[in-house]
Amino acid sequence: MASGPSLETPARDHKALRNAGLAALLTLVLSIPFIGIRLDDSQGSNGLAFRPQWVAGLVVVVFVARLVLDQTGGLAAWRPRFPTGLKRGLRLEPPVSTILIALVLGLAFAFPLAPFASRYEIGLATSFLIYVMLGWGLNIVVGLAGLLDLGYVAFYAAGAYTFGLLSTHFGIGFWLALPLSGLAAATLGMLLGFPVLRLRGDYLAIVTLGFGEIIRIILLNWSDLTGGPNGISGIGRPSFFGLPFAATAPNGGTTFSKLFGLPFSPLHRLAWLYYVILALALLTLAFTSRLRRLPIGRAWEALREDEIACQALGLNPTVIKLTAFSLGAMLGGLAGCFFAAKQGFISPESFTFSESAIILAIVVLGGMGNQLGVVIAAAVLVGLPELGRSFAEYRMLVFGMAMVLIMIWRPGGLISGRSPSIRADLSRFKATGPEVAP
Amino acid sequence: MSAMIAGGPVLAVRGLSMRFGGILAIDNLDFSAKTGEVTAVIGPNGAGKTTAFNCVTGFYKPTGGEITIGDEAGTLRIDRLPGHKIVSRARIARTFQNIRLFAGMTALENLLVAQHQALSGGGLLQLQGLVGLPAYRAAEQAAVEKAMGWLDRMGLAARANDEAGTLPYGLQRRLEIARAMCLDPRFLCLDEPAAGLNPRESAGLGADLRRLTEEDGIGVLLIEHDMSVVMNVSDKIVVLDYGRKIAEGTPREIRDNPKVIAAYLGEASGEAAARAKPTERPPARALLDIKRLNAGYGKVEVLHDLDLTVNQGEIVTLLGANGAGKSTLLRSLFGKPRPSSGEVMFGGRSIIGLPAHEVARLGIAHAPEGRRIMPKMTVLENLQIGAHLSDPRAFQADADKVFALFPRLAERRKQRAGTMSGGEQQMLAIGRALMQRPSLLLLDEPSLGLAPLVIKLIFDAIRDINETDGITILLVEQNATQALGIADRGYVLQTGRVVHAGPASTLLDMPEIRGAYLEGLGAAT
Repeated sequence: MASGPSLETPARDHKALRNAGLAALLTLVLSIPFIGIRLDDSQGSNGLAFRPQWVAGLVVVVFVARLVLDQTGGLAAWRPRFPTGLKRGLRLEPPVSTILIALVLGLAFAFPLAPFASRYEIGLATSFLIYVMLGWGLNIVVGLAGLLDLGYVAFYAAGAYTFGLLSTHFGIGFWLALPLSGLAAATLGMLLGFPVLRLRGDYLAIVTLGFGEIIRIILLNWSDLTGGPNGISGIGRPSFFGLPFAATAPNGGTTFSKLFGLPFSPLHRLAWLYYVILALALLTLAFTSRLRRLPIGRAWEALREDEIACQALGLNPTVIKLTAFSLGAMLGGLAGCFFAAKQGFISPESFTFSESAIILAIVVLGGMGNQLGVVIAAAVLVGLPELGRSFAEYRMLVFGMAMVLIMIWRPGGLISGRSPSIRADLSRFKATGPEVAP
Repeated sequence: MSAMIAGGPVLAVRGLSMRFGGILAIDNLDFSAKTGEVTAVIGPNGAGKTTAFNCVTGFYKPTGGEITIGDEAGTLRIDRLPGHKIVSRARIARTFQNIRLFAGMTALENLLVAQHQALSGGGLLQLQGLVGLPAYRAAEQAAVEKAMGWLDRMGLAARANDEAGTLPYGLQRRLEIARAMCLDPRFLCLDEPAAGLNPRESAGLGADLRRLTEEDGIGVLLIEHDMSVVMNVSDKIVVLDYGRKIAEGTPREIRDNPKVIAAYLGEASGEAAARAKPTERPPARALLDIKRLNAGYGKVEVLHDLDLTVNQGEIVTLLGANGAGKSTLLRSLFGKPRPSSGEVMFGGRSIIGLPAHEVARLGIAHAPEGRRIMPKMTVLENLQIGAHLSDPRAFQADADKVFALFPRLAERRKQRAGTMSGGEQQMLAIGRALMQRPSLLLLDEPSLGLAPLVIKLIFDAIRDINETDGITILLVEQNATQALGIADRGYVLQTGRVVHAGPASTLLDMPEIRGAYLEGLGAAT
């Protein structure tokens, strides 16, 4: 930037001082009730203790920080360096990308066998993969089709309860219930879709938000069917091709550990669950990336870009939105089914709005429509609160600040930019292609 | 794509009426169009041209009358079809006045979306694609071939993998036509395809349209204000005014029709240039002084070492092809994009690095390209927005001044701005900028998409603002003849550099400028 004439400088300094002063004043006003006054009950009776030195300290810190920020061009100017490849959608050349994919897959498969992988690590990895799967599912609706859905957790719940009910009432096993749960959630997605898809933007968001809450409240109050707040317990656990994970088989059959001659360990079941969700997530990845390259995927993105143009091209917006809604719902349902199987117990507690918000945050933070972004964002959102355990009570504060900083530094999400669904071979045209004169 | 002989399908509109609330936008309209011909629909802004198009392409359901497409096989009532079926059943495709591409997708992807029906095969083909069967891959290959064929024909093949939104304006217009052609239409409805193109690009467009009708046997329906295009390519012209047809005939008949001249063409449009130019003013001090300015978006540098001066009281016009950097220059004054180097002095002080609202406070007002009025607010509310920086006590007087300048706005002060015609919206955009009491007014393509008569009105107003209020004006225009007609001086930009600069009269006479920017305008009259 060219520096202005020297006579401008005092004006700028003056302004920086004023800004810093305002920030300090705001801090003063806010910090007096929150930090300056403290309820003191040391002598058995309640009293107020004043801590002016805390307030003063904070005011000085804010004043100086604001001045420094002003001089350095604000937080946005401090942005850390990100690899440039991330900006335009990650595109690696075949040999490197194949090796990288093989490496990641290998690591993912070997993970439960690693010596450090205990109950806690495997559990964390499993819930990370659930969120990745949910993120990829919601990505179809929000990232590709551009329909803001704040009630995605409803489909997650639908899948979970479908399996819970089928398992406890009819004794249906996980593998049969899995497609049924997906189907149930997809149907629910359709049912919701019909009335709301005329809505756009903010209105759609509000209605889906309400829908998510309605489902939760139904689950909470329809006690005869759903068990109300007590939820459903005793849900069947997935078996290893019919072999249960148990110390002894219920009616004298073989168990997983007996068949392989291993000493029984509860870790086996956890590792198996991990492999199941890994397989489901990889399937989701393959499914959604294929969809993106099909006409329907391009139609979703076209709809996000311009609905009126879609109509002019003879696309039926209702059908396209419904497919996005129901396929997204289906993936949510599959994840829900797995969740029920993993927990063995489900209740409306697990399907609150904050769950929807986290899944949406994963999609937005990752960079709308980007598959790899979802993985990184899920790692951040699942991992950060865990890492933050050492901060104990400040954990959520650190988490919130990290979110704000990411959005300041990378407003388009961690990986913004989109890679085309198809590339034309231009070798034929580059040479002879007529250039249009400017 | 075999050429159809005359006597092919006919698109017929009979007794068409369209009513919005109390307003009759189209009143008992009859016209027909044949394949292999260009049928132009012209008329003042707000005459109902786009409304008629929206009825034909199924975006509106007409309140009366019928629209049919008929060939040997029988006739089909278009107005009874659901919107998305018009393309597949009636095979009518369209483009939009304000380009509607899928901006974030590549050019090729845009053309593949247009082939959705063929590629999805009722969903069955897609299922095969999902599991990777060869039938889908073959269909996709064919679709890509077809798309690349059209891209090649429109001169876009080399840009197939570029995002549509990053293409220059002229190419976006061509891409939209290519996309519509991928639908294999019998009729193609183009809504102001030449808007925002310079004369050379317009001439290229005219040639493309002739080729579509003559080689591909397509019927083209064309709404256009650029008379050089309309007169050169049309087989038949239909003229609308206040929703009624006032004339129909060949270009020659229309050109000499007194009714059309009164309602639409006005005086011969080359006349503005011939009008007496403003007298030479004594050299004044520079109000805006730009030196060695460099600016761009991200890594793309748009302006290179640009020097430009606007003196107090002048009208200076900035000409150049689409993508030359004219709008970028105006925006960079407000720091968006922020200049990477150079100097911008306004009234003797540097404005580089100032936030946009402070630049506005110093007295620079901007009536941006595309008007950017607040569509859901009334005319008066829009003016209030413009006035929020100035003294509230002066509001009434300032508003009255705007209303005196544009009496049409006074009649509509309580009307929602978005429901007004394009010309009225442009008046409002200028009026809103004036409410800021600027000393420098930046106007970005005020004539874009306007009828000749309205353009004249707007340019008269610009001259009036300059002469009576002494407001200095920097005017970006495609309409070079008109702009140079009222300007004192002009600059011609090419790829972000000034290639010509000088008094307006000198520029008007320069052969290379006539060639690049004025060519074809003579054909209008």
